[in-house]
Amino acid sequence: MLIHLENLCFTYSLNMPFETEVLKGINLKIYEGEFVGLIGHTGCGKTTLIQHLNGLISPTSGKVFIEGQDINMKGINLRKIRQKVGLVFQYPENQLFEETIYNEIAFGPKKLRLSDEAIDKRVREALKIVDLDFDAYAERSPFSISGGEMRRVALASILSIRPKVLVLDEPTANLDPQSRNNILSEIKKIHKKYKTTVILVSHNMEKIAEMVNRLLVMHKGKIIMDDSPSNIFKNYSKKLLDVGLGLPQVTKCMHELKSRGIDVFTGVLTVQDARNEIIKKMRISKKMKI
Amino acid sequence: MIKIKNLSYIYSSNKKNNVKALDDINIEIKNGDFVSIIGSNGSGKSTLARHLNGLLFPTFGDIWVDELNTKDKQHMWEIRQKVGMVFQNPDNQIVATTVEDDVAFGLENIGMEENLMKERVDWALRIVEMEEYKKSEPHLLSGGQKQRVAIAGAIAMHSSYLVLDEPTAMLDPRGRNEVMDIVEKLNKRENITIIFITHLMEEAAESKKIIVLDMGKVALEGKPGEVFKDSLLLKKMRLDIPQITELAIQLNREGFDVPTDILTVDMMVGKLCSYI
Repeated sequence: MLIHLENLCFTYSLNMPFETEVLKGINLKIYEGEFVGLIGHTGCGKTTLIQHLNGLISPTSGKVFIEGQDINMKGINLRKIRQKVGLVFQYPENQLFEETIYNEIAFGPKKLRLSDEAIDKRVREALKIVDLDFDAYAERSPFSISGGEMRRVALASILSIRPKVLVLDEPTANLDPQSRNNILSEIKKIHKKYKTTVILVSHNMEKIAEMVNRLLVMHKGKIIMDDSPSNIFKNYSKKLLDVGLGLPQVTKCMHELKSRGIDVFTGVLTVQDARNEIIKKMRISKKMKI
Repeated sequence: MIKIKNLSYIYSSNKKNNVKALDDINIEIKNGDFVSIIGSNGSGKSTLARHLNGLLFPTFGDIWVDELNTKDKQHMWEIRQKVGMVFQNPDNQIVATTVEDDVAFGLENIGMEENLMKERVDWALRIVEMEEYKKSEPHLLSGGQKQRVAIAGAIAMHSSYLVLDEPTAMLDPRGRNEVMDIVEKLNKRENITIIFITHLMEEAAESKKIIVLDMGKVALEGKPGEVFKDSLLLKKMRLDIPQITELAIQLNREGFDVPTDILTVDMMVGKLCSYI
């Protein structure tokens, strides 16, 4: 088992007037090679949860194990943990600091003590994955570029470490549709090629549905659902709306059809699924008319 | 009306390079319109938005807001009062410690008399449906609520135009719906002209008109149904079409009688129910 959270609790401003319980006893096991989605309304504790995965925050109580190792034990080398669990922040400008984009992306591999040649290879590969041209960007400052480009550089700087677990907090929020699709499909490729475990936090239900094998839904500091995306979108459409979330457009369409008495499968995740399901129904209803 | 004529904007990224961010743009935005602006990262959307209330000035060409030229410095405050702006990250645009003070900020700056100011603040908060949070601290609100407060701050000035630059990018689905509902209400009931920048095609589908920017030029312009028809061209410009429109196109291609300009789940469900 790669990640194991045991009764994880976190409280802000403990013993202070504004004490807030953010995580309320999270139990979670994530296995190697999974592609997990994490959804929940703003303020439900998603970001706090993932900050526990590489020791950026220590739990108020409970434990975080990475490959069986309790990462909050005394004497733990957190740098080693952070090479295993790479976290890309929601606001990329918060994690950039180097003078050039090249140095930004080379920072992690340097700490891994790779050769200059290997570092160079990793930088080029990472830039390619995030769709930024090496010659145009390598020597620029990561602070002179647009928000969408910063996001890509931040992602590249984590990819270059080749972590075992890649945790992405809203990685595509200000990207145009094509950049969004490209980056997500590249992440899928990395997931397959290196068996990287991916945890994707997103508000984009369409993309979550397309990408992940397992979906976690958080609400008020707890994980309230843990199942395949198809089962969750099929069985809990109303509950999802109640907790401030939604459905992919095509899934919503199937639920509406069903509520009007057309017996379609409502666990569809992609346009392709929906198309096939509707075609099937239409052909059956045509035959009945004949 | 906002009239943009031959607008070009050039900035220097360093001494050698001049970048043409906007290239000979001609647009007319009529009163009461609801216009979405879509385009890839770097296509010039935000640069264009910042021209509409004089945060940026054209290198060439002109912009008139109700006949006032934005270059004319003496009209600057009048123009900024007419054209309200709401940005992407709600945390960067909240300035006060209570919701009502935040909404009053702009009014205080123009020295409005206190009773009138109170009236305005209440009116704006009522429209964005945040009255009950009047005394709340902004940092305790959800993302969608913060954006509604930001919108209230803009309309409290009695703006006739509201420019929203990716206002939903950081929000969860409920927050997005809240903001979309309020924006539609402002347009329909208060007759405020909306200029809405987004990367989400589903949101653009809800406007009356879409303007597509590509490399600083207006590449396409029309009703959502017309613009989304050319999905190949949009994909070339790094854009996309809403999932539900994609589904309609695929069903149509399979020989089913589903129009390809379907924009919402409701339209699709209505059509399929009459068919199945």
